[in-house]
Amino acid sequence: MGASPDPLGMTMIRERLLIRRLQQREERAFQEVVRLYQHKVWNLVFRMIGSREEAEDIAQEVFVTVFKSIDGFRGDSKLSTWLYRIAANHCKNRMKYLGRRSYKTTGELDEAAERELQGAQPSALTPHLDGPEKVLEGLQMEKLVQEAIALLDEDHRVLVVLRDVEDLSYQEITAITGLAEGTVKSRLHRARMALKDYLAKRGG
Amino acid sequence: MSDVDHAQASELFSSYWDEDLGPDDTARLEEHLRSCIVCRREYADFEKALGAVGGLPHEIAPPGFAAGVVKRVHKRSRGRFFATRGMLDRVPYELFSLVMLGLILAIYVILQLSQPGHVKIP
Repeated sequence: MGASPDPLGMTMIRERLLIRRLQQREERAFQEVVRLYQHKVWNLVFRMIGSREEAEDIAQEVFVTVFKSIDGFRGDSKLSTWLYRIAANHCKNRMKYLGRRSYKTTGELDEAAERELQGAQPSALTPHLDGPEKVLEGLQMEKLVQEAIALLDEDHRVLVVLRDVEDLSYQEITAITGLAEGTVKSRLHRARMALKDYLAKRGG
Repeated sequence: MSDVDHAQASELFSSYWDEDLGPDDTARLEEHLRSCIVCRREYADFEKALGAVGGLPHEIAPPGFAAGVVKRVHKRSRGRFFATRGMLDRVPYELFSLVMLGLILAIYVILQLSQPGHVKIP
């Protein structure tokens, strides 16, 4: 039996203090929030949008919104939940905007390959030890999966990214999206089946 | 669980993957998967797809991202977003302007008083 990792609720206390400092417009608190959450926000946004250029702009806007709206944050959810909610909304808005302009993301495989060559972290899809063919296979799979995610509409895509990429609980997802758990589950099921069909057809 | 058809079985895939099915439904689905090659293949594809999604590498923000955010906030708010710093941390323009105003006023009064036609009120 392991002890609770945070028996005194220190994480929550630290978070409340951080929020108070943010509300007092303390620049160091702002930098701390960016440092703590930048990678989470980045991964969510990048997987939702599929383009690094767009992801950088949106992820920066997420933090700008956080600090513009911090006075309205009542603390009834975790700071990370609130951040995810803002990030998801920004992504959905950008997707609608890009959709109207018939925007298509390109070149992500090249970027992924470049990253791999530069010695970035290997993933389950890009194993390092099995030789270049396996690496290429992994990169192609990554591109295929990203394409499959990009084919989902924004309401389904956000659920796949939150649940299956970010590995969040249903409780967290309902807090982020404001949807009922049953709605989340049924939409997520449809999205997963669409991913399955797309990948199976393309030999993924 | 031969009392479940293909459509009903596939409806349970997500919950089964999430280990969110009750014991009865789990047993029924597993029994169906054992006996139905179509659904077994479907579930294998489902498992493979979700395994691939879950296996996507965790992307990290590019270097300089945090600095870019701070810069953007400063630019957007024209430097007024963060709390104003104390007088000792920066050039005290307010103090300078007050001193200058006082000085101008003092010079004006002195000039007025020193003019030859100035009428002194007793």
